[in-house]
This record gives sequence, structure tokens and C-alpha cells, in this order.
Amino acid sequence: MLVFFDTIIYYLYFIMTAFFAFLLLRNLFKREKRKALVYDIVYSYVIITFILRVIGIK
Amino acid sequence: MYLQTTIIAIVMVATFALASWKLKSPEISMVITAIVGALVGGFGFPSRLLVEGMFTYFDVGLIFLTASIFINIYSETGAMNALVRWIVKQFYDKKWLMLILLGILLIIPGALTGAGSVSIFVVGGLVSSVMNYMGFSKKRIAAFIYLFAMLAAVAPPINLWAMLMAAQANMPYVGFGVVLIVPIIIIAAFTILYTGLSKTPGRKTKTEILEELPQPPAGMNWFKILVPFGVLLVLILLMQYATFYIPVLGLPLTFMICAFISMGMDKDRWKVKKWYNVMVKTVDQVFPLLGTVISVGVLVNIMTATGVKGLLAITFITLPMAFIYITALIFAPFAQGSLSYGSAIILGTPIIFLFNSMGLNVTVTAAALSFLFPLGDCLPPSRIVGRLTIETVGYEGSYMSFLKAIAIPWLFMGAIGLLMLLFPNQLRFLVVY
Amino acid sequence: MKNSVYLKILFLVLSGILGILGGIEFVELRNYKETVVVSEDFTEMIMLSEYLPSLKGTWGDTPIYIYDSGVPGGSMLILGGTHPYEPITTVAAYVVMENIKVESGKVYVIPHANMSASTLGMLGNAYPKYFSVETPWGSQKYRIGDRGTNPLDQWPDPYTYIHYPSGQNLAYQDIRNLNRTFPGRANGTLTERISFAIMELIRNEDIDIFFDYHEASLMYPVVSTYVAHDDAMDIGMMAAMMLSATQFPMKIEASPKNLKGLTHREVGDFSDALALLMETPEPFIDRVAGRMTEELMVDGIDEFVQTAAEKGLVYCDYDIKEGFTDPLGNVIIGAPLDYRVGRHLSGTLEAVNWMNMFFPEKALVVSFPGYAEVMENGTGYYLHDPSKADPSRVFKN
Repeated sequence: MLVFFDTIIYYLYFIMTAFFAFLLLRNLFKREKRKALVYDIVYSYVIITFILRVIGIK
Repeated sequence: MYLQTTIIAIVMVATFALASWKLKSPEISMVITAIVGALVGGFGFPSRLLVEGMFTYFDVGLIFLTASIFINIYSETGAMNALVRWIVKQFYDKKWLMLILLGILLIIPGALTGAGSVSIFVVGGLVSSVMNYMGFSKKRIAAFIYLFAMLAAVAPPINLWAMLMAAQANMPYVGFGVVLIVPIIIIAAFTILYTGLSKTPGRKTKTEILEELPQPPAGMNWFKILVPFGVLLVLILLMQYATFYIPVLGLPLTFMICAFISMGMDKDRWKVKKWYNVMVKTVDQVFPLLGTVISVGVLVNIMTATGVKGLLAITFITLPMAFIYITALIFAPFAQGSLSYGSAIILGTPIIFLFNSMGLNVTVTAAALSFLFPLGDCLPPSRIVGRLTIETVGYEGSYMSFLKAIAIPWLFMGAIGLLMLLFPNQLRFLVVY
Repeated sequence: MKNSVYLKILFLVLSGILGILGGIEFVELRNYKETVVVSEDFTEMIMLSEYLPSLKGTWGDTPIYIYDSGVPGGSMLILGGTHPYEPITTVAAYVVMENIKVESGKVYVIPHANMSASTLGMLGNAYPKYFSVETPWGSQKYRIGDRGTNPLDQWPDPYTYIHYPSGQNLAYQDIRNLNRTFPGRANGTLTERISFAIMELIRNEDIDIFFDYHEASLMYPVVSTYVAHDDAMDIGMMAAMMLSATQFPMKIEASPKNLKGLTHREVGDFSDALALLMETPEPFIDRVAGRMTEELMVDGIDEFVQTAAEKGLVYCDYDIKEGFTDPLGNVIIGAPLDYRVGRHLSGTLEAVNWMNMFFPEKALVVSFPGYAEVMENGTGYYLHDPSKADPSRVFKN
């Protein structure tokens, strides 16, 4: 039973990460603060980190 | 190897300084420094090491995101304002009692989770806004919050530095309770005095403040104010004391659960768009921190690959003892600034072994070090807790002026830590099992 | 406005390319298989999930190699790769598996005790992905893993790890550290379940002697040593004395009673097996070590560690200039792979010897190359060419 819950939580974390990846992607294109170009770059690689986790690469 | 690694280290420091100055973004500067370091170190463009580094503090980033989402949603429901209102009403005339209470409030989340940043996320905004209304200057507020966030991270039951050092040195994480609490009380008392004795000329009357504070939304009551925090506390206590009967939740999910409960407390609970916007804004707000923890991992990975990390560690621990004491207040905080909790592993563990071999009490030594490392959470390159404090307090001066603002209690804490490091055997009586 | 959108997309694509380049290497490491040619005395390979079905199909499942002589006698279990960032432990297990002869009793070898942890690099430590052992027929490549279970297999970590059943508080990442999760829980996290399954194996198969192979940083006091559970203390002491006098310096430490979750403590407490853990010196994982390279893993030569040694900060013999001489007359420079593999092999043989003397009823008669042989011929000499071996004896891990 606990193993089952652990598994559900495990997948919840992937869903959560995917959701944050989406929010970050949205903010890359449309945000209020820190609009400078360098932050576009920071956003880009942070998004990639989230995506790599979501698709189970790292 | 010494010469080569020293050259790489110098090139990296220069790159970081130049990039920070030109680009005004510590995050990207860290990544650029890492890339330059790898090139100079003969690793070419090591895409795997760079990407691997981004994951070093990935979970920490998730905690930042989810903790802020929780607290922003909680604030959005109006519960935060209601709470501030109540505190001002009750404690307006009892300044000292209020400062003690705010201090305890700040310590609890960090003590339970081991992260000072969580303290600031969860109650920092509340404390800042109460102190604001009470007329304290931004400088004093920043110092108060920063200091208590550090103490929260150090406070038992969870002191991550001590735990990591204990784990690395194969000593059980027991006996740290009193030896941590006693210095914490001393430092907390000093910080409260330092804050409370400052002048508050701009302080408004109680009525003025209560008028200024937004009225709580209709239907706001104690149940709605307390339940989200209550659930958070219960979940954390369950994880500590009923851990074998529940699955591993992890802090991010815990915060998300509390966020959803907060939403449920609001009359607009089904207005998805509203909550979505809060989350979007939160991501925007914590992004610098998220970017920092992701980027600092990249830098650390390359520092390790090129041997720069090893160079720093070997240099420090082979200094004569007197120098270790003299430089501990510089080395330990700066290690924290660049390695975050890795500082405990890289510098802390060798010091534990070194002191152990000299017959000094290792529990007191580990406790002492755990007071010195957090001092670096306001130092570059990462400056995590420092920047978080600035954001939360709405501090408007330069970063240097923030550092000056926290200097006095910061040095006091450093002095206490250093004293413990100097006299571990004399303080052995504080180690109580 | 439009330009900036294109720029954002460009940055995203560039980061994506970086992600793909890194990602390819992660996938490659996770799926790379090491080859081993088992000796003629090999009888059977089973999976750990036989002892706990919930491990089936997970990265926590791992092969167990069985060498049954069919003659009554003692039984032994060897764990390699409990911490895959100490990969010589797996190589030593392979050398045992490729060369062992069992005359009486039964031997179990798990070369990758924590399979999941062997499929990723250690975060923040910038280790190379592989290292190679030279053999007469070419080179054999092995993975360098992490200390803990892959987060892709066990996620999230708690904010503090509470050890079962003692309730001791440990740092949160130790919930993925196989050498902190013993004796494990059948319904716990993946790592706790691996521990539990290994405990089940030990209990169900009546294992008499248990070895957990490790490597340690030189600045860690418990290096070049046996760590023995109370019950195995006599054996460990005699073996350490014997080894130090005749082969290489070996210390002995008693397993601390209040340190929970470690194999030498919990296997001893929760089963009848005599539990021993062995640590070899691995400069590669020292916190003061310099550049992270494959050579450092194989040769164990590092100037910074040398400085630490000169300052008296390391707990074993170490010299990268002159080397030190062992009782057999070998000069050891640094902490080379052969030296570390050999230590584990003879450490095992010597302890088994003393068990046989103390407990004749548990007599386990085994032979495989020891320290002297490996130092003379090199580790590669004892690894067999899979292309020339009988395919039924070639396994991938």
C-alpha cells in the first residue's frame, strides 16, 4: 500500500515539474520583471533542466 | 598541478568579476565562468558536466517555487493581512514581546526543514510587514529577518550542515540539541536587543496603522487563517514522528498541498484563472533564486572537474591552526556562498577529521561550523538568503548597504561560532544526549 | 518586438541542443552494460526481486550470481557496488565471479548491489562516466556511478531521513544511500526495499559470512580497514593481523552500535551472518582531490592528496613519489586499481580462512586470485575475453 502511494507521489512530482516547465516557458515570452536579454538565456536553460527531468533523462 | 589549477582558479575569478559587472546577472555569470573554466582547464565544452550541474540543486529550486506559491496564494486569500492586523492590534504596546514572538515564528519553519530560505518564504513577508507598520527601518528589518533565518537553519531538530558533516564523518547526528540551542538563544537575544533598541521615529499610532491595513475580506475567520499553517505543521510533524506509516511526501508536495488548502479556504476557490495568475507571478518573483541554484550547480561541477574545489579545500585545511581560526570567518562563509550546503562536505568534513585527530570535541566543532557556514548565505556568487531577504523586505539600497545593515549581528553570530570553534573541549558539557 | 521573440526562441533552441548533447550522454551511461564471464563453478543467476517481488521491473532489481558446489559447507554473500562511486568494488566482485572455484559450500555475489545508483554520475562531483581496465585481449569499460539511488527511480527525498526501525535522524539524501537503509522495509522506498530484499536473501539462504565492499577517501579514518560487527570481530582481528604481517596494511574497526542503517551493523543485528565491510583507499573521492579524470580513478595519483598525506592528514599509506613497500616487496605508488582490487580479494579470502578455523562446521572452501596474484599479473589478467567465452557464461550488468 505504501509502495503504491510512493509511486503516485513519484508521478505527481513529474506532473508538478511539467507544470513549472510550462509556467517558466510562458514567462520566458511574457513577464513583468527582469526583461533583459540575459534573463532570456537564464530562462532558457532553466526550462531545459525541467524538461530533461520531465522526460526522465536526468 | 598546483600551478595549473591556480591559474584556472584565477581565470575563473576574473571571468566571474567581469561577467557580473558587464551583464548584471550573477546567474549567467556563473555559467559563463563555468564554461570558461572548463575551456581553460582542458575539458573543452563539456555539455554533460554543464547539464549535470544544473541538477545539483534542482530539488532546492522546487522547494523555493512551491513554498512561494503556497505563501502567495495564502496572502491572496487575505489571510496574511488579517494575521498582520491581529498581531499589530495585540502587540502594538508590547514591542519586546512582539519581537520575541516574531523571532520564534521565523525560527520554526527553518528549524523543522533545515532551510533558512523556507523561513523567509513562509513567514518572512508577515514579519516584514508587521515590523514595517511598527516603524522599524528597512535596515533593521532586513537584519532581523536575515539573522533569524540563519538561526532557523541552524536550529534543531534539522541542522543540515551538522547532519551532512556527521554523515560524512560517520558519527551519529545526536547530542546536538543543547549545544545548538544555547548559542541560538544568545544570538537571538542580541539580535532582538539590536533591533528593539533602534529608534522608530516614523512610527504611526495604532489607529492609523489599523486604518491603513486593508480590511480582511468578508468571511475571514481564525479557522481560515490558521488551517493552511496548521496543515503544514501537522504534515511536517507527521513526517518526523509517523514517518513509517506515511509515504515520503517531500517538501515541494507538502507546500503544494497547503497551497491547495489555502485556495479551498477562499470564496473564489473555483476561479482557476486567478490562482493561475498568482502562480505565474510567483514564478516571475522567485526566478532569480531558481536561476541561481540551477546556475551555481553548474559552476560547482566545473570547479570540481578542474580541481579548483580541491585546491581551495587543501589550501584551507593545511593552513597552520592559528590561520584556520583567523580565516574561518572568511573561508567558511565564502564556501557557503559558492557551494551552498556543499560547504559542509568540502570544508566541514576535513576540519572535523583534523580536529578529531587533535583530540578536540567533534560535536561542538560541527555545531560551531554550522554557525559559521550560514553566514555566507548573503555572499556571492549565490547570495541566496541575502537576496531573498532583500526581496521580501522590499529593501531598496545597494547590496553593499544591505551587508552593512546586517553587519553587527552578523559579526556577533560569527564571534559566537568562532568561540565555539576555539574552545570545543571547554564547551563539551553542552553536548547532552 | 518580433526580433526579441526570435531571439528567445533561438536561446531556447541553443539550450535545447545543450540539453540534448548532455542528455545523450546520460542515456548512454544509464543503459551501458558491463560484461562479465562467470567461472566454470557458476550454477545459476537469479534476480533480487525473487526475495521481494515489488522490485521486479524496477531499477532496484539486480542480478545475484550463485556458485553452488553441491557439497555441504558454509555460505558467503559478497556485495559490490553498494556505493557505485566506489566502482573498484564491482570490479573486485567481477574478478571473484570470473575466477572462483568452490569446493564446498555456496557463494552468492551481487556485483551491483545498488543498480539504480550505478546509472548516473554523482551530482556536483563531475566524475567521468567510465573507466577502463586493460586486459591482454583489450580493455574492459566500467561505469562510475553515484553514491545514492538515481532520483529518476526514487523521488522525492524527505526533508529529513528517519531510519527504520531505529528512528535515528539522518541527512535527507541518505534515504537513497543503500549503506544507510539496512535492514530495510518491505513497503518502504526503493532503496529500503533493496536492503530488505538483501536481508531476506541472507536470512532465507542462511548466509554464514557477509562482505560489503567499499572504497573510502584517505582522509576518512575508516580507510584500509575491516569494519566488523561484534560477532565477526574475532575473525576480522585475526585476518587484519595476518594481512598486515604478510600482504598489505589492514586495520580493523568495531561497527559502532549507535550508527544505524549500515550493513555491518544491521546485517549482524538482524541475521545470523558474520558481517564485515571493507574499505580500500580511493583518492578519487577525497574532498581535496584535484582534477577529476579517469587516470585518477585508475592510478589514484593526486598531488593535493599527497599534500594532505605529507601533513599527516590521511589515515593510510600514501605516497605518489617514492611509493611505499608492502610486506611482499611491491612498491605501491599512489593507490592504483590493482592494489585496491587485490585488497578486497585477499581481505575476503583471509576472513573466510579464519571463519573456517573458528567454525569448522561452516567450512567454506573457495579459491580465487588474491592480492599477490593481482599485484603481479594485473587485474586485467583475470578478466576473460567474452568473445571467446561460452555464451552461456557471459552476462551483462
